[in-house]
Amino acid sequence: MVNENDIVVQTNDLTKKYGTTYALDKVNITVKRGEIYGFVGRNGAGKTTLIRVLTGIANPTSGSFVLLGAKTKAEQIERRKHIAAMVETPALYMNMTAHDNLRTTLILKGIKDEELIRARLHEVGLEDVINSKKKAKDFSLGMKQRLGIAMALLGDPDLLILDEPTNGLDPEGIREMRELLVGINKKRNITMIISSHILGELSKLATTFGFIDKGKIINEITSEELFAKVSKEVIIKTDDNIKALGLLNEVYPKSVSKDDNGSLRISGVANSSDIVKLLIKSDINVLNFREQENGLEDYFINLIGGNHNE
Amino acid sequence: MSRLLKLQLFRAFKDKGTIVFAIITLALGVFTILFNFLLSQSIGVGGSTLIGDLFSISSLVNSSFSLASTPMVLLIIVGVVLLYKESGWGTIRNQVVAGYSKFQVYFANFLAMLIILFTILFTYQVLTVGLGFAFGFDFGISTSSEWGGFFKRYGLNLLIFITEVAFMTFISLMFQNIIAPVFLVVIVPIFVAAILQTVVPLVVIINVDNAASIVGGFEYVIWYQSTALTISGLSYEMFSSMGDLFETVLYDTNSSSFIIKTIATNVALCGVFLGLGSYLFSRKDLK
Repeated sequence: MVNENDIVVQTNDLTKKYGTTYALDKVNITVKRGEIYGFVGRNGAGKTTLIRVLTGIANPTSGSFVLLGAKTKAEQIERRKHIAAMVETPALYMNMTAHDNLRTTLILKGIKDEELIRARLHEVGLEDVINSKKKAKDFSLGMKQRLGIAMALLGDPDLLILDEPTNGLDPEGIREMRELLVGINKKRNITMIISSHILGELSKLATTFGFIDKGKIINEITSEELFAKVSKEVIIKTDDNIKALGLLNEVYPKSVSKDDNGSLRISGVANSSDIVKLLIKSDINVLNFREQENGLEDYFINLIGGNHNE
Repeated sequence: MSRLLKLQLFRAFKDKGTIVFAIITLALGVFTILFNFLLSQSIGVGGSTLIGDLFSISSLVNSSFSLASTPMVLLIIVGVVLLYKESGWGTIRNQVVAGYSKFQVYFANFLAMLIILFTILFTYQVLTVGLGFAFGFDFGISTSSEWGGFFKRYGLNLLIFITEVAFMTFISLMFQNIIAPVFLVVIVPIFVAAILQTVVPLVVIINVDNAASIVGGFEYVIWYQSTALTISGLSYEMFSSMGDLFETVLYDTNSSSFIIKTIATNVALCGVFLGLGSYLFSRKDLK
């Protein structure tokens, strides 16, 4: 049982509709204090929509959420003073320098200490532009992302929400961004929600994962559970897949899926021979059986149904 | 709220486009006085009034509030662009994420635009008056009751100005793009003014018998569109010399019915643009 004070974000059947399309369909996630919550899904799966709703940029169609203990809209507005977010692209005043962009955040948050500007720019590796006249519009994408994070960190937030922070970065930039975020999480113990469509990238920093597809949360697991699942997968074909699926779902909940070829995939199984024994005991004949080592991306693609759902 | 306002003023101060447009507006004031001075010299009026006895500086000050005047058009463009940049860059999202309600964001934007645009306009007016005096033009007011009338007209025009800024904020924040505000806030009013100023006299001149009923059908639109010009006295000065034909579009700006109508209309419109606008904005998803 998780203590209510340890829950930073909890959504309850959160739904967002655009016309007849569900961008979010009864989404339920829980983000606990100190976690780095990796929010994974393909482009258009609903990641940004959820972040937009949590940050107040968009209004939900139905459902509710708790943000840092706040349940009502008025409380949530007030509580947002303790969160920071970078949604979609970094929202910068393109005609201003990095220093002036950070000043806008100081003004917004009512912070007087201008020395913080220098400290935050240093923290995100933008010390070169501290006294520069270069405008944000002339920054590279990586610099803009860093500046966005520097702005977000100014108010010492309890929750940092970053939407695809590595989008458009080169491999070196991705690595640096990852190290920056892990460093911030450890140093300041800030809870983070980070969205990405690349599981491999998030797996290196997230402690919990929420998988979303077509506006629905399809799985929510810890990093330990994820790595247990991706380590080994059993692919099996039987003469009665419906009965086998029901049986395996009881024994290995959340671990069984059916692929396009009619095979059953059971992930995170320590001893695969247990599965065969179980099926035979239930009068189900095993027609085909093999084990497969899976990567993170394979797990993700299997989870969301591969290209079939595109 | 004060922080949001401070942020808006800070960003406007840092915006080159705003500074450039403000300078152009002020340069226009200098040009207007210089042009009138040279014109009055060349036609031998002697430089006591603007454009050969037609207009005084006081009416020029009040007419600068009109949507049909160039300074006002420039100011509206400044406001529309400033408001658009917040949506275009996504920086308006920062304000919501930082713990301000959309209601507060809406009002802060409106108040900031009011302060920024009025500061530029007031500087333009002061500059015009100062230069006007320096070049020997007549202010057009001598008695204390005339001063009272001037400030009354200025107050009414200020109310119209507030309505215009509220309308600009409403359209800009509702559409969150540049095309709709430029079209609805800048082009349409100019277009309507052009139609009214062309069609109304034509209707009056060509179809004298039915003029009153035809023009009267659009009287409220004509009245509202031309209130700033009417209040400044320019419409009266232009049309009254043409006789009874333009009686329909001439108003006694000192009458209590005119003042009440102006105040009521503008307060109602402000209520719609600010009340309804902030309500709709708070229910709207930001881009």
